[in-house]
Amino acid sequence: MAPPTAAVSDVVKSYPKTTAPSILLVILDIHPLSWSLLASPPPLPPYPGHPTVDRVEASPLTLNEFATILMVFLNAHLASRWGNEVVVYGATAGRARLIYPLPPSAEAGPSKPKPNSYRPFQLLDTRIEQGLRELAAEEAARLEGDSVNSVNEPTSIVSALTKALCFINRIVPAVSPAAALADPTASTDPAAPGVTGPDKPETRILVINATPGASISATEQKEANEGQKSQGGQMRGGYVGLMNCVFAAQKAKVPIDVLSLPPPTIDASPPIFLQQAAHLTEGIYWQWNGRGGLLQYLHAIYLPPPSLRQHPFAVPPQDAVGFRAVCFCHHKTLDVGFVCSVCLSIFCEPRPVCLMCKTRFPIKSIPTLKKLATYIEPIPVPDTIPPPVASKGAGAKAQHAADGDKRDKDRSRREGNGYHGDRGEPIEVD
Amino acid sequence: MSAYGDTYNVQVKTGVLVTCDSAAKQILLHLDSQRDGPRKFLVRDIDETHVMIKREFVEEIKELLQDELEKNTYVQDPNM
Amino acid sequence: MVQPSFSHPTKREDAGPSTSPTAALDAFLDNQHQSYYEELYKSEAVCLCILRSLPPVCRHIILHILWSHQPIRTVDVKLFLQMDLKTPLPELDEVVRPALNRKILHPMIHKKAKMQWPMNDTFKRGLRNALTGLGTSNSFGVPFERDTEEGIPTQEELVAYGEDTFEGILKYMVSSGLEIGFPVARPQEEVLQLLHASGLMTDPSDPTGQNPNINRLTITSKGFQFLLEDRQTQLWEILMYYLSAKEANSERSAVVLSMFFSLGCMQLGQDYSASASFPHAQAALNDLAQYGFIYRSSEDTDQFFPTHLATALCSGDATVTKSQDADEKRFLILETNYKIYAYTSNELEIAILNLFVDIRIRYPNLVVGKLDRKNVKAAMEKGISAHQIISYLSSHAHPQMYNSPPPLLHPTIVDQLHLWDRERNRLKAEDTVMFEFFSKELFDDTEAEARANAALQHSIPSQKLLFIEPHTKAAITEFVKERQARLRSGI
Repeated sequence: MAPPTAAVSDVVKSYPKTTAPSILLVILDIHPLSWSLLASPPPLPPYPGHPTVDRVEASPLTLNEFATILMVFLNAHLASRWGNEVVVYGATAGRARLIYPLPPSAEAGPSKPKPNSYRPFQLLDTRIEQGLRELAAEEAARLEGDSVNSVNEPTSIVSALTKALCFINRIVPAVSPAAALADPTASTDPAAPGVTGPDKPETRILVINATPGASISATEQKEANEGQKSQGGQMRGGYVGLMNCVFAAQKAKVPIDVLSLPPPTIDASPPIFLQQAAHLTEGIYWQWNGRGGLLQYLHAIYLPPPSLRQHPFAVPPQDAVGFRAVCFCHHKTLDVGFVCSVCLSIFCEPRPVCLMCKTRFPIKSIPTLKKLATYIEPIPVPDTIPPPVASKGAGAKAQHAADGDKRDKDRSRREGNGYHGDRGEPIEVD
Repeated sequence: MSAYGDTYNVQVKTGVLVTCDSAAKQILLHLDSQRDGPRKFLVRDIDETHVMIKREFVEEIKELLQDELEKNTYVQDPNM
Repeated sequence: MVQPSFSHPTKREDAGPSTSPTAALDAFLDNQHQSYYEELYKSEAVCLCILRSLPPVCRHIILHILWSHQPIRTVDVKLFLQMDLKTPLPELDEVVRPALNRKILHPMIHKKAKMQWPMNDTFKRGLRNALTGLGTSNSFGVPFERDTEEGIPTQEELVAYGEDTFEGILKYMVSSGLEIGFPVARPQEEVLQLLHASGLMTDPSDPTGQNPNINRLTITSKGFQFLLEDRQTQLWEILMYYLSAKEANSERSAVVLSMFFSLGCMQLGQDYSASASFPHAQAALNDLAQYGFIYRSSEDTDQFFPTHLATALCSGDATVTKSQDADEKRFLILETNYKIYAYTSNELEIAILNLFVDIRIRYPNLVVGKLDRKNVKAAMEKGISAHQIISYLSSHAHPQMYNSPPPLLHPTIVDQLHLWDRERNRLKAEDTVMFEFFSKELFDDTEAEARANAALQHSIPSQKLLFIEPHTKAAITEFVKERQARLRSGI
């Protein structure tokens, strides 16, 4: 037993003794084309300075394997506190569907409890498997049916996000108990957990993105710029829809975590709007490095609940957010744009009449605005991790140099793939 | 203890040492002064917070003290 | 003179934070050896429940490294917790102290120039299997092969059965102490034996405690304190008493304890097979039925249903669950004029309130009373302390009371309860022998001797008085005589 010295832990005493129950909503991207990319990844670049890591090959990832990993992770979430809950949405080309928990009206075959598995885990796992199979079967049916091109539609993450936010709104009513007492006619969901004081559950959303590509532009030109294949990369619902979801989540204090599966070898320019979503709602954005170990990464980064993040648990550095926007007229991504002073909508060139609020602006001001715009330099995206110190020893950092698009300025940025601060050793793989 | 009447004499007494706050001690002294002869319990008044009393009166003292304290306690009208 | 306030934060005397409901379990587990834990951790349900009982930071550290092959290194923990890299090692030990106590981590060793904690392999395997469902110990209960669907009790029936049985035991305890005549079924003999052995009830006509007549038990002060605790704490204490009784008979208690945890992981409303789930603990399972933990339609059937008492054993950090019990348990409104309004019709709760509240009015769903000096002092005579009354009032406070600014209970009431407690101990009486000296030298010597032997109760140098423990009278007298002789002969 360590003797109780004075040094013993004001730090430890400051750790919270209990946490509130936590509800985790997962949005899983199951676009078939994205997953086919992940199943056959290109080889990884060498990893200087760390021979053990360098030896690891790029691991192909199929949806089956990932679903298994995800199920264990969700079990760990349920295990970490009595009262934690999980909700799973599946998002595919053009549609999003709630997979777990099913509404009571839907017929769920009552499976017999197994003696070696904790019943809540068993229910969750079987239902996820069933739901994914159903979704996949529907996709296959659609392909064979008339709408072959439907698979070219982008993954509808926005649709899933809105459903998730509505779910949260139903489960965690915004009305305080005092107001509820004053107005007993306000109906409360009998299945809702108690919301007094320390029992109020905290919610967070985890978006697992498999689709490469940052842009949500609809134009072919932009896709060519990005060097993408013609299929993935767009988000249905558009920029406006996504931003509305993000602001709603921000208001409701729901962090949106993002796990971007395509490693930098497949996806040179990661989804900036998901990055922005994570940044605005104080969530965690992280991109997989393609070297396996997903189970450990999930447990390490995404398992601690929001109340335990930042203090005491460390999170990966969240600075490298590309703060670009999309113009409302052409859906091009912009570094520099023109903003209507009335409704704050963004355009790529100055307009005499705002598209959204129909405010008229003097035509004479347009050339001056165009001239002024050329003086503005776009802000470079900061590095995730500062460049490695030249000396040996403590300073070696993990770097993948990914060359971005040549057209936009300052697009070369370095992505870090680990969060171990000074040491830079990623978690060793199985 | 010895036949010598000198300064090395020692007096020995057995009893009960009572420790309390000074207000309770005053109550004890008062109670003792109201009694007489063989019913007196006080052996020695030691200091502000200690007295010595005879063994056989301990339980009686505790009850008497509680009674005195009860007399000085305000009890609200039970019909309120 | 300013009166000290009992609610003053820095001057709180023994007002520790409310202990968790598993305090009895923690105390039991802290005393066990490594081998006990090895046997416990063979069951996946145990690993899961023990994990949940750890404090949150520790829990997440364990989950973080669960899937790695290596022991946890101290540098990794420092980075993960954003601690200063120069933090001394004992402090890191404190961070994972709960895991060390439960033998999940072995003590720190020095390996390959790094300090690390090796993880208990049995626990690691058990937890991994719990998460993946690949275990083989059937620790989550084997479901019963049902032939018919009839005769299956609903969840409400099971809850009612559990509540009635356990409350029956509590009512029996309460009614023995008061002259309340509500009809109460006597619990079965083994239950009474346990109540007697644990000190919750006693036979007043049996001074030695060895030969009690279990038909004539009355409640003790420990029993009163037990009544005032919240349900989770009561359940765990009963289980721990049961377990200690088993240990006293030198039976293997690890199997029984893992059965408790397995019951905690079962589902309400699901029937299980007793012989398949707990092959080695059948007798204990039967005993548990008497307390209301499980329901069995008849003595010899293999099928049993856990009630909510069992399934809620491992739930939560003492916060109420979603069940309707939660609202029924919070019914008290306490006013600053000492009046209490209890919105309940539960006989047991009213009987408990009657212990220290003067009940004035009784409606079908409401009981009105006053926290009276007389009643509270009578309760304190029976052994209930002010702290217990306060924690009982806090835990059963109506949600409406949370609307007024904290603290929950008004300081007037809290302080007055403490003062009433203090009033009982105004004077302290101890047997003594008084030595009165006339010689300073002799006085000093004797005082030093008495202090050295820890026999001194009090000394007044100004009056040269010494007060000595009676059992040391002979020794001190000898000493004094010998000193006197020496001084008189001029040494």
